[in-house]
Amino acid sequence: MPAWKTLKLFLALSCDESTRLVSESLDHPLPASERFAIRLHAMICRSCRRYARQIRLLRETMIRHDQALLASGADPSMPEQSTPGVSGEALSPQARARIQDVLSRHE
Amino acid sequence: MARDEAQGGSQRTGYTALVDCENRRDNPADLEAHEWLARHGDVLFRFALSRVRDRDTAEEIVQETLLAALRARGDFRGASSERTWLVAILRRKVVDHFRRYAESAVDHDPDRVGSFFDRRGHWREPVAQWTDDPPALAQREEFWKVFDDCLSRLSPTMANAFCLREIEQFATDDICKILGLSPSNLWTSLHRARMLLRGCLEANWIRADR
Repeated sequence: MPAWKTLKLFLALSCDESTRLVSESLDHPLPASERFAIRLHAMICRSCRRYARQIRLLRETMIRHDQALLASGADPSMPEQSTPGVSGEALSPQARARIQDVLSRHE
Repeated sequence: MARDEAQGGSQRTGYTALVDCENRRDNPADLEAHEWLARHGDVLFRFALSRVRDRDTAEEIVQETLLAALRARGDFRGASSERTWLVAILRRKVVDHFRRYAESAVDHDPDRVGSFFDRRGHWREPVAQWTDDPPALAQREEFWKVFDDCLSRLSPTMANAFCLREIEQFATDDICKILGLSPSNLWTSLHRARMLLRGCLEANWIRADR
């Protein structure tokens, strides 16, 4: 990267660009210059700091929720723990009958 | 960053394991296949619904899963629970569904992210402080209601990319192959998905404290 471009990255990173880079940092390793630039920007920008925290929180929440969903069905003989989100959802009687029918033809 | 790379490694293994899990069949075991639906149907349905966000599609995926399980039942040896085995097959079917969608449809993703920033690239509205941590969030029924609603406002490609990355935790190269996207297109989709979800959650789920 040319020196002027690196300098511009450090001095003039906008929130728009910073959020894009912060998001990308969750998906692939960023070059050191970009990592440094977003850290520098975060020092002066509370909104971007919060944005970075929130998208990580979103990721952790997704993972936790999925684990809870799996754990809720870990032992079918135990009563199911309630898992917020899709916990109340169930196959409709029609879908159940249809699937049962398809399965019995293949069994 | 080291953490991210380490995760990347295990994600690849996870995906490969998923791809391999279904096609081997030896020793047909005496499984009570006809009881799968009764015992696991609802959990499988919820799992599918949390990923594909559409009841009809989720029902179809449950059916495909149980059929595939029936054909591959010799593969099940009781090392994992029956349900874990079925869920692994279901996750593979969800990936197949996303792949078929990507092959058949092109989403028009207008760049709505721009609207969060002014002409100089600064936030129009300051970002609020969220007060809950992940365990607290995950346990709030009202959070998931708002979340589902916010997710349904994303284009299917954005939502599918978000699901594969943040729920399935696949490596980005695997997601690129499944969705037929270049890495930079995928990063853009994920960035938009995160930005729009965050904004929608903040606007509609009022536990933020400015």
